[in-house]
Formats: sequence, C-alpha cells, structure tokens
Amino acid sequence: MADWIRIHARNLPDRRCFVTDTGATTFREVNSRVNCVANELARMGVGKGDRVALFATDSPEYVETLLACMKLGAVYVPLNFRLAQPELQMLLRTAEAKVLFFSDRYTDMVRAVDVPGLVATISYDSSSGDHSYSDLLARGADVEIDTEVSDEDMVCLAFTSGTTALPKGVIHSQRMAKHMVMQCIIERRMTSTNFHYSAAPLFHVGGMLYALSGVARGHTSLILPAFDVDVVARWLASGELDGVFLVPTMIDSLLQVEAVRTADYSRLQSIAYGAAPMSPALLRRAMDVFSCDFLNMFGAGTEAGLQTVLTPEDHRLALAGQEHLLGSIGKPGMGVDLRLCDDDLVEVADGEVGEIVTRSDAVMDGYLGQPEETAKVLVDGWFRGGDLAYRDKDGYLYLAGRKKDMIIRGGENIYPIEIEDVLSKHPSVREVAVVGVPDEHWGEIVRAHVVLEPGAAFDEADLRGYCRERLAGYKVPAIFAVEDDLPRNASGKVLKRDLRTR
Amino acid sequence: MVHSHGFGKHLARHSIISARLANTSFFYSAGPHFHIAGMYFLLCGIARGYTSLVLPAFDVPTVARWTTRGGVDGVFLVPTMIDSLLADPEVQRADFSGLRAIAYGGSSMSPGLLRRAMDRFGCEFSNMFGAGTEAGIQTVLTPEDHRLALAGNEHLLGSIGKPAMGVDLKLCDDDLVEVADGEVGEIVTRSDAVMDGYLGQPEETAKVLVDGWFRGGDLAYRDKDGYLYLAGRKKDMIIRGGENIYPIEIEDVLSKHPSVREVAVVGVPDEHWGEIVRAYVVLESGAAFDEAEVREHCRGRLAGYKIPSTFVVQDELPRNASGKVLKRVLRDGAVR
Repeated sequence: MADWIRIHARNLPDRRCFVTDTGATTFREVNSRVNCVANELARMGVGKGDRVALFATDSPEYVETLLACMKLGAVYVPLNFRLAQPELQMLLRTAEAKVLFFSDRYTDMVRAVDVPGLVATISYDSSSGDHSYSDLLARGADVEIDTEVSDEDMVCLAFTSGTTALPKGVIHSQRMAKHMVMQCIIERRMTSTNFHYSAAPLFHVGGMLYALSGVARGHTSLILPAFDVDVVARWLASGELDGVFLVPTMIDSLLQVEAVRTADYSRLQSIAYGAAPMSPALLRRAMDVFSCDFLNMFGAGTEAGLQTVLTPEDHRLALAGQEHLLGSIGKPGMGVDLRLCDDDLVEVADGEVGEIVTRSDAVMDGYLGQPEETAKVLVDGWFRGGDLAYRDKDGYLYLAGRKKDMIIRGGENIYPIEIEDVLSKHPSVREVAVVGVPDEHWGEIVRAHVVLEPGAAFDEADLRGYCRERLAGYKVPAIFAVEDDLPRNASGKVLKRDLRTR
Repeated sequence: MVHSHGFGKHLARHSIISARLANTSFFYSAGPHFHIAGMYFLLCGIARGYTSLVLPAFDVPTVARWTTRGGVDGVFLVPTMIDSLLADPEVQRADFSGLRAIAYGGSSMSPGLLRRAMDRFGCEFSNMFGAGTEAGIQTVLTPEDHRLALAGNEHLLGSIGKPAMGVDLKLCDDDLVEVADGEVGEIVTRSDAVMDGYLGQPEETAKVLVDGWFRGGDLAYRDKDGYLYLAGRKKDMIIRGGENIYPIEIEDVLSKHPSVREVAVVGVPDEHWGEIVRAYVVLESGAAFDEAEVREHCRGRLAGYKIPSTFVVQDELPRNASGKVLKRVLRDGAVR
C-alpha cells in the first residue's frame, strides 16, 4: 500500500491527486509531502507498528497522514470527530496512540486528554499542538522510506461506529485494506482517468477507501471538509466529476437545489450510494436529473468491507418494471462468500430471514484486545455482523434490519424495515424509522418515528389505515411520533438506539 | 514457475481492473489455456462472474462469427490474429457494434494495423504487456492512450504504456541501478503478482528474483511523459563491433515500409563484427521485394551500422502459441 503514491508520483507525476475548493496537488507533490511528514514522524520515534491517531475533519492532509503511516509501517487510527472528550481519551488509550493529528477546532479537547505514551500532538491548521502540519512539511526531508511489511501486518485500527455499544477497535491488515480498495475499484468500475468525490467522511471506511482507491488507481479525488449541499451542488453542476458516492438523504437534499436540477451531467458516469436504501420515487427523480448509472454498495465496512452490490444493470431492470429491486441490496460483491444463517450458523432457506455471514479477503482480523467479542462475530473466518436479510428466487438480497433492532411483540418477530418500507411509500412521509419500545403486556410494541414531507399534515388514522391494508395487524405501529429529523451517525445511518430512548 | 494463491488472486484482480471487465461481460481470450493470458482471462470470468467463450483453438471464421453483434463484448487477441481477422471477407462486412473492447498483447501492434483495426471494429483498444508467467501484467496502454495516439500522438502506438496498477517498475542496468529517462534498461518489477520462483532451481530463481524484484530480460526506455517503449529482449540485443543494437528499432523502421507485412531482426555470428544484423521479412500480398529500395528506406531512418547486412524473405515467421516470434528459431536457422 505504501508503494501506491510513490508509483504514481513516478508514472503520473503531474496528474491531480487531490482537489479541494481552493486548489489541487499532484501525485508528485503529494508524495513529496508524504515523505516529509513520514520522516518527521520517524524523528519523533514513530516506527513500524506504532499507532498514529487522527481526530480531524476531512482534508488532503488527512489522507497524506495515512500515506505517511503506510511508508513507516505505522498503524493509523482514524477517529470519529464527533466523539465526546471522555470517549476520545478512552479510544486514544485503547489504541495506545503515540502521535495525535487533529483539527484546530478540537484543540480544547485534545489539550485535555491524558494519554500515557502520547509523545506529540500535531494540528493540521494552527500551532495549537506540539507541532503544526506546516512545520512537518517545512522541516521534513523529501526522502523515500521503504519499510518491509507483510499482508498480515496491521495497517489501520478503525473503531466501530458505536451505534450499539462502546466502540471496538477493528484490526485491518494490509491484506484486508488492499482487498477493500480492489473491491471498491472493481465494483465501482473506476478507471485511472476518473475524478471522484465521496461524501463519506475520511475517518469512515466509506470515505477513506474512496480516497485510497484514487491513490492506488491513480485517479483524482475531490476532498471537501464536510458535506455541504451548496458546495457539492456547485461541484456536481460543474460537470467535471465522473463519479460520486452519496447517501440517499444527500441525494434528496441535492435535488432540491435549482442549479443541480438544471446542470449538464454528460460527464457523470455514476452515482454510488450506500448506508441506506433509496426509495423508488427518489431514485426516479435522481435518474431523471443525473441520467447516469446508479449503484447501491452495501457492507459491514469497518469489519468486513463491501458485501453486496446492486449494479447499474439491476437499477435499469428496476426501472424497466422490476421496481422491487430498488429495495434490494443486490448480490454478493466480487470475492465475497455470503450465507444467510440462523443463530447456529446454519443456512436458512431462500425467502427466510437470516443473518448475513460473509467470508472474504476483506474480513478484519478481530477486535483489539477483545478475544471474547471477536469470537462472537468471527467464526472460522466467517464474519457475522448482525445484519438480517432474505434472498429472493433470483438471488437478490433484501435487508430485514439489524438483529438487535428486531422487535419481539408477544413472541412474534417483527422486522422494522418491513414497516418502514410501507410507511415510506405514504405520500405524507419523507423519512421513517421504526423501533421497538418496552411494553408491559406485549414485551415490546412497535413505534414509528416519522419525518413529514414539507407542507404535509400528520393524519395518524390515515397512516394507520394505510399500514393495515399492507401489513399484518400486529406489525402496525402502536405509536406514531412526528420528528423534525432523524438522528444519524456520520455515515448517514439512523441511530435507532437514540430513538428507542426518546 | 511457482504461483502462490496470492499471485493468482492478484493477477486476476489486476487483469479485471486493467481490462475493465464488468460482471456482465462476455469475453473471449485467444491465448491458449496453458498460457497465462488464456488461463487468467478464464479465471477472471470465474472470479468476477462474467461469461467466457471457450474455443479449442483460434480459428478465423469461428472467431469472426463470435465477435459480430450478439456475440462477445470483449476479446484478447495477439496482433497477428487481428491481422488475420481483418483479411477475412466476413469481417469486412460484419456488424461489430456489440464489441466493446479489444485487448492485445504478446507483441506490439503496428500503427497501420491498429488504424485498420480501429476503423473496422470501432471499439476501444488496450495493449496489455507483461512477463505473464513470472510477473503478471506489467504495463498497459489504455484506451485513452490509443485515442491520444489517433489524435496526433502516433508514437504512442509503439508504446507499451505505463505501469499497471500495483506494479512498481524500474528500468535498470546490469547492476540493477536505475537508468536515466530515455536510456534503455531492463524492466524490473515488484508487485503482488510476482512468482515465488522456479521449482527446484534456486540458482535460476536467484538470477531473476532479487529482493522481491523480478528482472525478466525485457528491455525498454521511458519517454519524458512516462510512456515505456520496448527495446527488445536482453538476449536478442545485437552487439556489432562493440555497438549495442536493439532489433526492435530496426523492425519498427522496416514495418513501416509499404511492401513489408511482418519483420523480425536477429543478430547472426560474423567473424569480423562479432555479430551482424539480419532481417527476416514477410511481404504484403502481391508486393515484390526490392532490396535496394528497402535499404534506402532504412538509410534515411537509421544509423548506418544498424542497417541489416542481409535480408531474408519468408512466407511467415515462426511464432509460439501466444504469438511471439521465436527469434531463437530464426537464429538457429541462420547458423545452420
């Protein structure tokens, strides 16, 4: 992986590697900067296997830091920038971070951490740390570092997003990370001439992988500090991008911008989306405006990479009359052995709901220092992440929610996604999330959290009637709650844990 | 040559990426199965989930039929096969609108042949070069490069492109020190698709595998834009009176002569010079060979010591299963 940037600095020196709103750096420039940072980190004592944490918003410098770690054989630890101070401290201690890179805006939190073994803090955009990033660039030597690594060596320690419990440190080997990048390039059909933007944050595997795919493949990545509708709308309308990765809610936001609806997208080849399914209505609107290929990329990213893909061909099939495919996450991605299993890891029959269990080169080595937690999810090389799905007769997979989100009402299993699918088709409903809440009589009952379309009125009896026509009686929500928006994590997933406790 | 699972997996992935194969492809490789180009396109199909056409051997009418509309959307061919296809009357008439891309390899494609092929097939072309069996794909001349070539940068058609994804490539002298841009050096690569070695032959392995870098004896130079150009095989290099002569340079010049269809240049022993240059020529159908005129064609384009001392007209050139000219056979014939 460390070779990638050096190889392209040699072969495609003047091609743009990273583009931002204010400028661009070429592969040669990025490689030089990475060398400077790597050599300065080496002077601070960072070597093979040492942990380098990042607590920062997105920037080209963020990716450069990852590349510098690769050259040193060091392990990068990308942290969610939404962490609270105690979480930050705990994760830094768990990771045994030796150096911490951070954005200036988090200075107070970083100054307050107490982490034994942390030798330096480095600010990307000010002098509020022990060093500034520009100091490293100014002082560092532009000399190549070639550290011998093997496929088994750890390259990244990524923490789970923590929608369930406290984050766990996921061990990414070189083998896993390389394979995730290959999957991304192959499934996304990326060529070396692409200009790509991913709206997923860099600390998240979905953001990081797209940026690293660009470095590996030699194509150009647009890097923006955060997803901002107007900025992304301007870039989309500029007609320069070949591909983007967005989550469906972002696509919806973008389609509300006038400039987006009227721009020329003759160059845009494809929009990949993930983290959530796309409603048929939204997809149709998006396809009308962008008239490009669409892909749904689904995976247990941090722990097992990409798992399934709904391809452009599948999307065209869907629009040609097989609309049910839009509710599908597609079929297993290349190199992914996928089974749907019961609690004992026995495969269920087609049509029955089972847990997604996969084996591939992109499965993690385990959770750092947590052998019991690891044993719960990794069995003989197979990863079980708690996502539920069923397979139709044509082999397409459909999510049936998270195992822990399953509602058990009076002994009946209820999959929230089934109810969400029905409610999301109601004209007054823009977004919906269904959770189980404790009930003395039933054990759990169904509660629907609904965001209304602008201008729409909430008519509970109407919604209830709508559900009754389409769902078994016990699945019809007992309670409806109207929300302004749904709580989501950085990758756009609804935080049901937060909804349940509301 | 020992291929590990790692080698095989990476070669399959890199082939899929470089040849831009989607899971909806229907692909035919004319490389025989025992050869890496045949075997790996099949394995790519199994890995990626696309369909492979399997034929017992390359046969012009059969392949012509399969490449027309309704058949395969991608093929791998060697340039002589493309030339044979273009000579087929069916191919002259057929509809190739279903053919997305032609990948070629095994040898370089003459600009004239490529232009004829691009006109007739109207699809994308890519040149995939590698020390296949020992080190997988090494370089790719992409469809974009081919378009650049047709838009006025014709010299690119003589290039093998740039290093393929994941391939660390150096051009080195005998001591494995990198040569300067523009100078001829041996292609030395490192990637996940390098063999583990030769079975039971540690000495032979040590000659070609040095610290994970593979040196296969292919010579090339790099232009200022980073494109690589083959300069022949190290062992095919001719040393005439102490001067290094790269046969490919002479072959390039001769292949541009209107009467010449194919050409191969080798060194043959000579008492005075050590080695002298001999050109084996296959003529275009109906063309007559005028040695003085061909010699004059060379004189305007090559230094005097590079101009062949002897010309031999042949009906065809000896080639191996993957389409490479067997210079050894030509040299042996010359000695006999």
